[in-house]
Amino acid sequence: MIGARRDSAQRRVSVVIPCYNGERYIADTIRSVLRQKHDSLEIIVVDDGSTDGSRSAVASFNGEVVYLQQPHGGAARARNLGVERASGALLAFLDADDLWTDNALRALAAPLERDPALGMTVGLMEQFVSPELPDGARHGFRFSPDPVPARMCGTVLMRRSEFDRVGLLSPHLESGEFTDWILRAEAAGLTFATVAELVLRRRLHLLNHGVVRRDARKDYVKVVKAALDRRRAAAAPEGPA
Amino acid sequence: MKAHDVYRVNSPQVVYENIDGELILVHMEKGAYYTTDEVGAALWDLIESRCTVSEIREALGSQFEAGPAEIEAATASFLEQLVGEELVLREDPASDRTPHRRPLPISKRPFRAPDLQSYRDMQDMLALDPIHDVEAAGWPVPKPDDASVTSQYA
Repeated sequence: MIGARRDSAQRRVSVVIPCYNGERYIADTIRSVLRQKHDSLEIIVVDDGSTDGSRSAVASFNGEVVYLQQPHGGAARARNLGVERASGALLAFLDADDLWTDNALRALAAPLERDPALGMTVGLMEQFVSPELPDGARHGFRFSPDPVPARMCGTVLMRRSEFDRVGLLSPHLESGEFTDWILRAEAAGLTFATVAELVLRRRLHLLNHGVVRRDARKDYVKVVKAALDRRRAAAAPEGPA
Repeated sequence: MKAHDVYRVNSPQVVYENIDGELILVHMEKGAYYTTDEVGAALWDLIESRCTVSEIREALGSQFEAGPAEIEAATASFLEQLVGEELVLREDPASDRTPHRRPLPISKRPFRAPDLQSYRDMQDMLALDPIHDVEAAGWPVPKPDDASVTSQYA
C-alpha cells in the first residue's frame, strides 16, 4: 500500500464528463465513478452551457467533483476543456448519462500499470433502456443487449501523455469526434489492449444525441473520409510512414 | 430487377456524402462503410433522384462512353450490391416520384463498371448510435428543429 501511495500521482485517473442538459442522469453517472475503488481519482464535469438544473445536480457532490462551465460549444470543446484542467497521468471520458460498472477502473487500469509501453485499454460496453421510459418508447429501441467491445467514451482509459501526443478532439465535429480521435490515435501508432470485462453501461433514452440529432450523423462520413485519406497518405511511397 | 423499379436510400441508417469527388457511404447500424468510384457516384446520384432502372441506364448512357449492354449489366450488378449491403431498398411500385432531370453533359466520360469497396474495421465505433423506430413505437420523438428540445451527447 505504501508503494501505491508513493505512486499516486502516476496512478491518478482524471475522468472528464461533459454535460449538456444532463440533470436527469448525471448524479447516477457521478455516483458510478465514485463507487470505483481507486486511490486517486479526479472527476471533472464540464457544463456545456446547460439550461436545465445540471448545475444543482452536480452541486450536491461538492468537494468530490470539479465543476467547470463553458458557453455551449459542443461535446468536443467540453471534453478538451476538461482535459486542460485534468491533473491525472491517466485519462478517461464518460458521458453524462452512462454508467461505469463498479470494477471498470480496476479492470482498465491494471494492464496500463503492468505494461508501460501500453497507451490505452478498452473494455466492453452493454446498452440498456433507461428504466423510466414508458413501454411504448422502450420497445422502439433496436439494440443488442450483449456486452460488446467498443472504442468509445466510457470504455477506454488512456495515458495523458498519449492524449497529448495525438492532440485535442476536433471541435468541428458534432458527432463522431471521439471516433475521429481514436482513428487519429491509431494512425499515430497508439497501442491499446482490450480487457474482456464489462466496464460501461450505456443508457438509451429519448434524448440520446443520435436520436435527437440524426442530422449530425453525417459527421461520421467526414470522420471516415479523413481516416481513409490518412491511410492512403501513409501507404503512398512518398507519403509519411 | 425490372426496368420500372425504383430504389431509395436506406435512411436514416445510411449516411453519405461526396467529398472531394469520392462518394463515402456509412451504414450506421451495420457499422460498415463503403467507397465507390466516379461511375458508382453517378449511379448513386440517379438512385437518389428516384430514377427508375431504365432511366438510370439512359442517363448513364448519356454521360459515359459505353454500349447499352455494358451499362445494363453494370447497373444491374451495382444495384444488386447496394441492395445486398442494405444501402438502398426497392420502393413499392406504386410510390409516387418526380425524378430529377439532369442536363445532358457536353462530352461523354470514359466508362468503367462501378466498384463498391466495403470496409468493416470501424464496426465497434460506427455501429453505436441508438436506432429508435418511431413508427413502431408510436412514441413521439422530438424533431431536431424543435427549439424546445435539446439533445444530450451520448
